[in-house]
Amino acid sequence: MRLKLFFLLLLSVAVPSMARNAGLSGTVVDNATGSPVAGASVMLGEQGIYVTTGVAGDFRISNASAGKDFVTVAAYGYNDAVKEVEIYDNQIVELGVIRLTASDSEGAVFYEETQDMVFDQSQLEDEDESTQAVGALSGASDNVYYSVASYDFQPMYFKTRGYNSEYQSTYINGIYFNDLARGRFSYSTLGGMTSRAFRNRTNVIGLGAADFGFGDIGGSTNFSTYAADYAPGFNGSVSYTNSNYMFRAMATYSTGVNKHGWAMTVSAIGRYADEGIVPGTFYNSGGYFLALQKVFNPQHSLTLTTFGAPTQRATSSPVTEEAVELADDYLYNPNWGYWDGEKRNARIVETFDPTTIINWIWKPKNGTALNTGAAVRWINYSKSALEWGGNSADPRPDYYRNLPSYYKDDQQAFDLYTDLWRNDESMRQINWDKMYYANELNNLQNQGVADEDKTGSSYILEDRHSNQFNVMFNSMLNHRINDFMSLQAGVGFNYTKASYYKTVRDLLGGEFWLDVDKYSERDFPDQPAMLQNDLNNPDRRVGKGDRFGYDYDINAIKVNAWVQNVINLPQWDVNYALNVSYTQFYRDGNMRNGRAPLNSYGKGDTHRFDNAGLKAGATYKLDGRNFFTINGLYETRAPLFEYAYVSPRIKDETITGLSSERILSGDISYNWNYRRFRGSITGFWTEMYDQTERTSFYDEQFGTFLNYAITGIRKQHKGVEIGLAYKITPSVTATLAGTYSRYQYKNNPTSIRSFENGAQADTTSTLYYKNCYVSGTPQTAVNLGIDWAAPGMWFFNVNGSWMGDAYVSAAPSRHEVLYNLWELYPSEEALTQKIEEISAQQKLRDAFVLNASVGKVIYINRKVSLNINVSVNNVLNNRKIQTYGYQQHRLDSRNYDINKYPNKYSYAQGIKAFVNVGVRF
Amino acid sequence: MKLTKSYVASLLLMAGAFTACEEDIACPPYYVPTTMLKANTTIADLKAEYWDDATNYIKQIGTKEDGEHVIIAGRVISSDRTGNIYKSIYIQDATGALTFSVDNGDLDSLAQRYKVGGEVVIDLTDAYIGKYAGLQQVGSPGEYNGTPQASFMELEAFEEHAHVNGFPNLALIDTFTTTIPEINAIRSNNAEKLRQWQSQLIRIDNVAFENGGVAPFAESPTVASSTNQTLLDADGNRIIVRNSGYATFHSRTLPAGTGSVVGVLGYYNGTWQILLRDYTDCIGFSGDGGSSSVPVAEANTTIADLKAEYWDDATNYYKTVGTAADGGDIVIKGRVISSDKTGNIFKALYIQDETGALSISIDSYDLYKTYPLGQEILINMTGAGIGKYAGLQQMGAESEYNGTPQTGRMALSAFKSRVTVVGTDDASKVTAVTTTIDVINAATSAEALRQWQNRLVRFENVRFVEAGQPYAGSSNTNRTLTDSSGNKIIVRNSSYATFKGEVLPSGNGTVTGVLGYFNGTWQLLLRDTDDCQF
Repeated sequence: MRLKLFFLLLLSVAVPSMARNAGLSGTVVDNATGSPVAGASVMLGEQGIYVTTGVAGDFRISNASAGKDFVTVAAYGYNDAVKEVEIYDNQIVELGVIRLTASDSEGAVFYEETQDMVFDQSQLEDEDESTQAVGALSGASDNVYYSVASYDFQPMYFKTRGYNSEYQSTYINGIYFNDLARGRFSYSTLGGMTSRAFRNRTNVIGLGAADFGFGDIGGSTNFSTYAADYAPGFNGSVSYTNSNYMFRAMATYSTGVNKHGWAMTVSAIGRYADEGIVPGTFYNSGGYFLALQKVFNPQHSLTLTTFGAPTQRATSSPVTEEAVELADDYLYNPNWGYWDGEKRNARIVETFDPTTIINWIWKPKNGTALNTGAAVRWINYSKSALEWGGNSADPRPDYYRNLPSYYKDDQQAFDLYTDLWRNDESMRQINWDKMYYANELNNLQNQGVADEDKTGSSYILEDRHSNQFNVMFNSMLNHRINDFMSLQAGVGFNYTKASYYKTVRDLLGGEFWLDVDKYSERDFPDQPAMLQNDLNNPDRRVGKGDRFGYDYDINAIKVNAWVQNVINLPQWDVNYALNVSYTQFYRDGNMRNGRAPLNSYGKGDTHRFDNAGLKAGATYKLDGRNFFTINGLYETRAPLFEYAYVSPRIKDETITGLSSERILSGDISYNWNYRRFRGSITGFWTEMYDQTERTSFYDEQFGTFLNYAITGIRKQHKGVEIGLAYKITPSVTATLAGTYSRYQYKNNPTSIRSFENGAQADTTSTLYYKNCYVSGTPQTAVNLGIDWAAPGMWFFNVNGSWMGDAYVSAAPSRHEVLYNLWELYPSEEALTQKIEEISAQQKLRDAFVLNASVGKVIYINRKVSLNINVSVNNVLNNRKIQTYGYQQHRLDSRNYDINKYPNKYSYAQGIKAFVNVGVRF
Repeated sequence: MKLTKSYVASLLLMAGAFTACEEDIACPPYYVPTTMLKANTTIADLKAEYWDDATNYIKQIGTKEDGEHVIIAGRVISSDRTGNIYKSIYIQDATGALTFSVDNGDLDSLAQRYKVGGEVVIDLTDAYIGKYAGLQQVGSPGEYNGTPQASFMELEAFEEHAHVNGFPNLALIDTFTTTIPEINAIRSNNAEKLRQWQSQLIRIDNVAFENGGVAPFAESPTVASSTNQTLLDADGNRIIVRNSGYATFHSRTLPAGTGSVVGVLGYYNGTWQILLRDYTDCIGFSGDGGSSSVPVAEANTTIADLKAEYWDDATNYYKTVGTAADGGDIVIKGRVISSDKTGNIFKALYIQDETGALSISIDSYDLYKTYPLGQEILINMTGAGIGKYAGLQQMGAESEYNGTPQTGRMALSAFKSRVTVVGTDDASKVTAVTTTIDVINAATSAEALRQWQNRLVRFENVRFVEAGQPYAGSSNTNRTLTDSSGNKIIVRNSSYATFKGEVLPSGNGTVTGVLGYFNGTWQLLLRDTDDCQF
């Protein structure tokens, strides 16, 4: 009810009620990216009338007097644009698009190339389960802190304000593209074409107002692929790097709008490595992009965008410090082994997210634009893994029983294993031959045996699929109400069908794979029904390409509507917005699982959530150079369906008390822009309530997968950010950026532990998480850099980052009451001390990284330019950078020796070089 | 500008305030089991109320008079962690101590949960209390040869009744310092003292192990599941320390010299035994090795006097030897005159002094290895059994035959615990008395029987009637020795003797052997074929 009133109120303001009607209007955009420049000042010189552009870069002056004048458009970081105008009574002159060029445009090119490659690299880890996605904002050039945070803190996967990427909204052409499963946008969807095909983008930092959506606490980005906005010409580049991939070639061609109103941009990319910097990994990726636009007239245009990037890459995994030390390689990768003389990796990721978007842009009159779009996307993601039967030996080389530390009580065995690990590579890599041999033995035994008694493979390679089919729809209005107020509103719709299943990738020489749960096989030998994965097809034998193990879909719908009002006054900018949404999802199982025969097959309950969010912000402009901003947000968010179910592979059961989470966030900042010195200081505080986390792991004590669902989590993110840039000389700038923050859990949530083999009923316990740190990002970071735009189109940059206070991901098992621990530590003092030891949350190593880059732009003639960039990251070859770490969930429940299952870490590589040669004409 | 500065300052202050408070990471609370149950009975009262003088019995514990459950509380004083104490828990409160016999199977030791010094509150209603071989303990009904006794209770049953309450606190355990004579003075008819001391945690100072510095705590479990070691005080008083072959420390050497021993007091068929929790219960041992530094008690009576004092004319009887007139133990000294090496003499040891000879019936083979021919030994007879078996007076364990008491074979460990070996064996000092068959056949009076039974004798100028035949056939064989006057005496040979198949010598010669007696008939027992000199 209240919602309707609110809408009406807003719309009522939209009724034009202009007294005088002489003036001008237009839109200010960045010449390079096409993104709107908000907050630019537009001044009518003679008459002294002055307005500020809104979030869409649009402005209107309607109280002018007729006559000639000139209008100056100025924004920080851009060269001023001056235009002569003539104003007539009763008419608002439409100036159209006013393009501002960045004041150091060549420098901008240099940074773009450098930062692009860093950006690209960081997205590669996006989809791996072990690392959290990093949604870096390719920073607005005028915010020193965000530029640095996006790139120079990358080695340790810095997350701005500690937020996961589900709190950063990504839009393409105004359509919200974060998925409903995990709330994330996977940058690998863009296939590495972010710097070219997707270079037109608007970034809104933090709680600021955007013209394309309600925004998010972690900021939002809108990629714009309207072919008409691309500068015409050809852009090609060839790069070499010693990273996940070695070679990259990219070419983009844009026609610009031709006289028939057509514009096209086409782009292709390829990235390849036979073996990346991490041993045993390879990379094959290709990408395509096509954008077509037909501008019918100034009021209507239609665009079509389609892109995709099929990628196949082999991955690594975090390992224990012992393994790293024995292998004498920080990049030790346990996922590969020799097969047929070549390195063969068992954990291969294959992705392909073909996406097609259609937009209809309608500008009925000056200052009003309606963008309606629809998109279809398929997300194809699979990751391969070894699978083995219950009686077969664990084939992973770094399985804890294959490491010397397992034999620490037997000196002879310990020495033997240590010697093997250090000197025999095959000891620490996968032994494919052994697995093929085991399967071969089964085949031999099958000879002459009746068909029903045959034995299938003991080892196979499987693919675990997480696919989605999305249909999205969005319609967005941008309307200038008067000189000072604009209105944005939109509705969005997303239908998603997510499919989760696994298939046999390779039988490794065996005849078939028997589809039963191997852990249940051991625990329920007399209950064959329990170990069936699909009672509708018991004891099924599967072959290459068949689905097995689990197979379920989740169907979800999300509908949202938002409205925003932005007021730009000479001394105040005020914005407020409201968002409402409805989310529903249900599980549809395609297999009847033996551990939940009544609750796994078919459509499950539909879960519905109503959510709303309210945000507001104000900026006080003390003078043209100093301004203070304060923002606040309160919202509720529906649970993401991938985290909502206790054991979705087995049964249709959501975690108890599934509810929306609540977020309360605020920030306050002071910005200053002087000719030589500019910067900002920001303090932020966010409280998150009723969050849910899910984690699964194999527990040896119980011999089954355990699913932990943790509910009612409360977190707090707070900190200070600072960014300064000082022009020492006109061509030398020093920058300092840093943050001191704390991202912590702030209560003791409840955890529900569920046994996937059904051996025991679910148990509930309290997790003592209070004040544990959010993992996976440094909470303190500082970067100092020097840029030199040297004569002769040379560009140099040296910067050093110190990153610290990053913590390992805490394991729930270490934060519960341990009922048997007192038996080993039978005094209050010893017990308390041991509990402290067990529940301690280790820090990752603090890291110092020094980077240097140099670039040169060569103008072959007026049209053709060549740019060469060489970047060296981690010049000091710091090999000890831990990018991520986690406490193993398994806990030694016999002796509570925390070194039995030590933490696992991922490490950054040493020196990383980029060499890029690009040409444009 | 000033305004700006103050704005900035306030922002920074706010920013600082945001991050100033950094608390420590939460630790989960610790958990230690506790209970709300409170004791309403003392161990002393419980033991007294459910006492019975019998050596074995079992009773079920009911409720108190007011209907409440009987609840005791005490602290654990024993530990089965090393395996020396097995399937038992000893609990002590201010008034006494009590043993609980619990079968925990192959699982973790009871000490994992029931730690030394930990308080346990036990609801005893419906539990069973009784005795096992004289030790009063809580267990469940078992039986031995028809006699009910307290045997193991199930672990689940124990855990249901017993509730751990809080962290262990060793400081709250009492150790009672006492002496060996004080313990040994407790007779099996002193119920109150038995209740007071059984299962209690004691400490004895200034003691030495007889085999200190020489023998391990216990033989390996393949030889014997338990080994009794002897602890001696300065006066030669002795008490058994019983060690399990399965204890983790069993192969360690007994400490040499003198020190203190702490342990729980067990009781087995009239004998006190100290049970160590761990080898560290032997405290502060220093000085020279074992028995040599400890003065050994001397013999204070002769074999003849002993046999006379504990004689009975009955063919079968059993008597327990008491104390000497001065209250001390009765000790005899004799030299081993027999050897069971050939197996002809079987599970028996014969000793003699100047006054007479005594045989001891021992349930063990190869006694010659420990007590070789010619070895002089001291035997502490107090508390041991003397009686007759089919007319032969001997030392042995209490036994019975068709309701009649007699001496039977005693356990080797029980014998060993009474014996002090003196010097080294010297077979040359073994003397046989030369006599004639008719003298033996005429020995029928009590005095004569005592004089000749078990004695090493020598007959000259005798011959075997069955000369030319083997010593023994497929079963024990009686051969006949005769002299020139036609007097005959039986020579009984075992079918298990190593020389059984050898042929009896012919002609006249000298035969030596120990004199056995069976229901009125004398029998000569050869040690080996050297005893026949022809």
